[in-house]
Amino acid sequence: MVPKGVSLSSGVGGPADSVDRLEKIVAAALAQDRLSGLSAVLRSIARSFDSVACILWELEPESEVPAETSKARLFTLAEWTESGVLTPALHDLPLQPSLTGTAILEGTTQVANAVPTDERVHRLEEEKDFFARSGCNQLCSVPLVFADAQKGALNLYRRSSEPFSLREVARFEQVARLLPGFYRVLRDRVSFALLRGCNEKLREAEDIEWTTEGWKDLKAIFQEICEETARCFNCKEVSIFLEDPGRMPDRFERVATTWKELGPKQRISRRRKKGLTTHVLGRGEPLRLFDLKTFSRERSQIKAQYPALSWDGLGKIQREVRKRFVITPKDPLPPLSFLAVPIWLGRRVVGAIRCFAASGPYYFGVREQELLELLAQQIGEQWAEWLHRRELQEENDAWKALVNSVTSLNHFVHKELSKPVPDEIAIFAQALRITQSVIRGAQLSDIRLYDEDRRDLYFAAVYGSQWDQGTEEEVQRRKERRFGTARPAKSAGAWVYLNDRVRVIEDVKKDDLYDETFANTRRMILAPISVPNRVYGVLDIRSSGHQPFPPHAESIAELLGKQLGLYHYLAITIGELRALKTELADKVKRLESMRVEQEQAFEDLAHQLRSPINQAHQRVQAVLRRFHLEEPDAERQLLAIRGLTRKATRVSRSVGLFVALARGESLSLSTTGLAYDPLIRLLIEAAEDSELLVEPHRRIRFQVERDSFVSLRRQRISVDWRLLEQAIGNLYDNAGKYSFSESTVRIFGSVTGTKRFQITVANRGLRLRSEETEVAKRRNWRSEQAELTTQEGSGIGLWLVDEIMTAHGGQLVIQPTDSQGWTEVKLVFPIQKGV
Amino acid sequence: MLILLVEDDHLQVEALHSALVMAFPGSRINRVATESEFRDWLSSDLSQIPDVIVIDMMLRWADPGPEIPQPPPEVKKNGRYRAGTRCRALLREDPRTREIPVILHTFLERSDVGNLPDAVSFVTKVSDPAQLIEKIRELAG
Repeated sequence: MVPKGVSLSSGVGGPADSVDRLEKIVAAALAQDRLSGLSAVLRSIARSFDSVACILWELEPESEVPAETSKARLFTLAEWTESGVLTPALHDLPLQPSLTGTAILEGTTQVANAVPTDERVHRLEEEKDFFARSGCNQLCSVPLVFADAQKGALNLYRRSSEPFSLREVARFEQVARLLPGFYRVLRDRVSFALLRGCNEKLREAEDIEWTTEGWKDLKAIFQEICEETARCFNCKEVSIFLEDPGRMPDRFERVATTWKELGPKQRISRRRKKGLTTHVLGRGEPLRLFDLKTFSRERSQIKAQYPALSWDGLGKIQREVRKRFVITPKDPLPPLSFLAVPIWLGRRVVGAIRCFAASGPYYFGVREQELLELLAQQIGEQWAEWLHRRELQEENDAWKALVNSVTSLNHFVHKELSKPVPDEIAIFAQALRITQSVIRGAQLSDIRLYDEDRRDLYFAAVYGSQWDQGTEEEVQRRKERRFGTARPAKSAGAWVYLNDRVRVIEDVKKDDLYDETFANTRRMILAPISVPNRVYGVLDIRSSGHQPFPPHAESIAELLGKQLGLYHYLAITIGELRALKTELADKVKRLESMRVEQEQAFEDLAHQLRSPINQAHQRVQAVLRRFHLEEPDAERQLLAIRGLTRKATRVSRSVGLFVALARGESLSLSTTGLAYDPLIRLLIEAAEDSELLVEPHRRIRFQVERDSFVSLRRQRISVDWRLLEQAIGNLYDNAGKYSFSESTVRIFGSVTGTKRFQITVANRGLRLRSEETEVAKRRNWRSEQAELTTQEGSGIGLWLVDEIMTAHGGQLVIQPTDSQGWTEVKLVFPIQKGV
Repeated sequence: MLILLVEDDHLQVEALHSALVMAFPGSRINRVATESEFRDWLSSDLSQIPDVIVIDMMLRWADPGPEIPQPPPEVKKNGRYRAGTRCRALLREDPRTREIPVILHTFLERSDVGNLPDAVSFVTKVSDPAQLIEKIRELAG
């Protein structure tokens, strides 16, 4: 079927020429790598057909043809004109009544060879204007169906005296039918190139460190992505908005844009209600609008798709577009297409990427939206990675700074605590300074300590200039505030003190226990100042800024609280130890002085005791030996006196020995040979004395077994007679005190092998356990039973005997022998060689 | 007159006995040697109530033997050094003995013992028993 208005003449060129032209068109199409490249293809087509303009039209998206033909519009997907300037009116046209609309609706090629007189063309003012300005007199419109089933048309505009020939129209139809395929390939290529390019750029961002310079580099990458996207979509503006949840939550900063004339750095609040980008950021849903100019007209249709959308910024945008494109107020504006998609970080919208087009193709389809969503996902992943890296680096830096600060603080504390009177407030001030240097956002800090007397918390140290703001009276009142610690807690500080746990207050207005000290405080961290099982107070860190505390701030505050607790504990303990040391030094001094006095007193006492008692003893001894006493009681009384004086002599000697040994001196011996007769005499007399001193009703006997000492006659043993008498006396004394009633104390001598001679005192009475035989030789040791059964005794008897035996090169041996209560105590002397 | 001597040193008892018999003709002198014996005496039916009791300050708990009576906690804790004041307190707690005059008789000085109430009769041991005899006469004569 011959299209209407087409001449049956052969027209330009033969088949070879036709192939050559097609080859040029295909070559031009394959060379394109961005959507704007469609114009180059159209230029190639137009020139092939000696035309001055070629326009690719697409039906307005979502329009039903022919059901909505009365409302449907066409818009320019791509164009090429000889003059390079398209009449603004031709950016979009009503579908009807137009020749292009007819071609689309009827699905047949429409040709007008005499436009000025053709009624089909001149019904639209927009077209009239174009033909008048361009001087075109011919139009050929071929209907097309794009890959997404959307309808459109390719128009040729020509200035010629020759009408379109049938062959020309047929070739134009052939070429036109290739165009949807080209367009699809081009879009795929552009999409792939965009994703690959952006991916490569974002990968570069992985190596950027978190510094001010690094942040500039990252923004430069985002800028390149915007520019690449703008080139890809051939759109006027591409902007990226991002939120930094750790620094400025709910604020989206425009980090990159291709339309810098839009104004200074823009920030959008999540709480804002109106706005296209705000809608995307707030709702987390993509927004795609074909032409903002028609927003008011199509409000109901848009509302159906985006119920929460609220916008009234058309005037501003129109002004900016006119300014940018130098479009006079008289001329109509091209379609203003809008597309924005959210950028997600987990379940949180952390930004958006926005595209705004005021040049062809004037339409963002589903495909562009999907592409932009993929890009947004890549940006989101990189942003998350960046924030995470920054967080790690910040945390790392903060811990490093903390370690260094705490190390220097430890030096400071050591120096301070070494002073005679440490200044703990200076330590606190230093610690608070550190707190603010290692916790980002910490503006005020203080230490509250527990007052034992008043049972409340008071400010012991404060840091930050705000503490001193206000009148003198206000400052004083603020610093003198007290916080009760009764249960249940009525303030956040009391809660931390009572529970020994950190409390993080993100928003003081929402915390029931927050007790205001500063009106502009927004958030707080409270950490207990404690050591295990003891809380001393609370460390407060306050911030009035928008920035939340970094995630690691809680751990740092907790650690600082524990560090402060340790310092406080050390300060208290060292103070107590110093006081104790002073007290002890005084006591030692007093004791030393007392010891010297006591030594002198003991020495004096021993002398005073020994001298008269010795004389009395000697005289009694002389009487007993020289005179026969007829009165039996007289002899008994004298024996008792002798026993008592002997005991007193022994006690006084014990005092002397005690003093000498306490001084650290060793016992000096004055030895003579141990002969049988004097030894027997000593043993028997001491036995008689001891027997008399024991309670008569206990009937304890002392029995010296003379025969057992005969072996002594053949041995040579050196002893200090004075000390031997002391040792024997002490052993008899113990035997008398601890023997059971009606028992006999046996004293016997023996030689063991050839080297040792021993005097044994065996008795049956209170028995030492085997593990006590060595302990019993210690000074002042007495068994529990001994404590209960003697009326006197200082516990130094066996200790002195042991010392005496050691001085003789001998040994004191204590042996519990059987379960009947027999104990043998032996004085073991070394036998000298050569006899 | 019946005098009870609570004294663990038999040599001292011997000396005191003859002095007291001479000072209080016709009197009887009974003796208790340890704190455990004293407690046994106090828990008996007390068929004969003494007219005066003389108590040594430092008393052993018991004689050595295979079975030593188990001491009460205060004896374990404080030992023999103030046994005399413990015995006096026990006498004051018992209505049968509350009114018996008690004399603390010791080598210690009154100031060594601590804060003894003025009402407590206290006689320091010396070689001449005259002071003790005088005090007995004053309280029980």
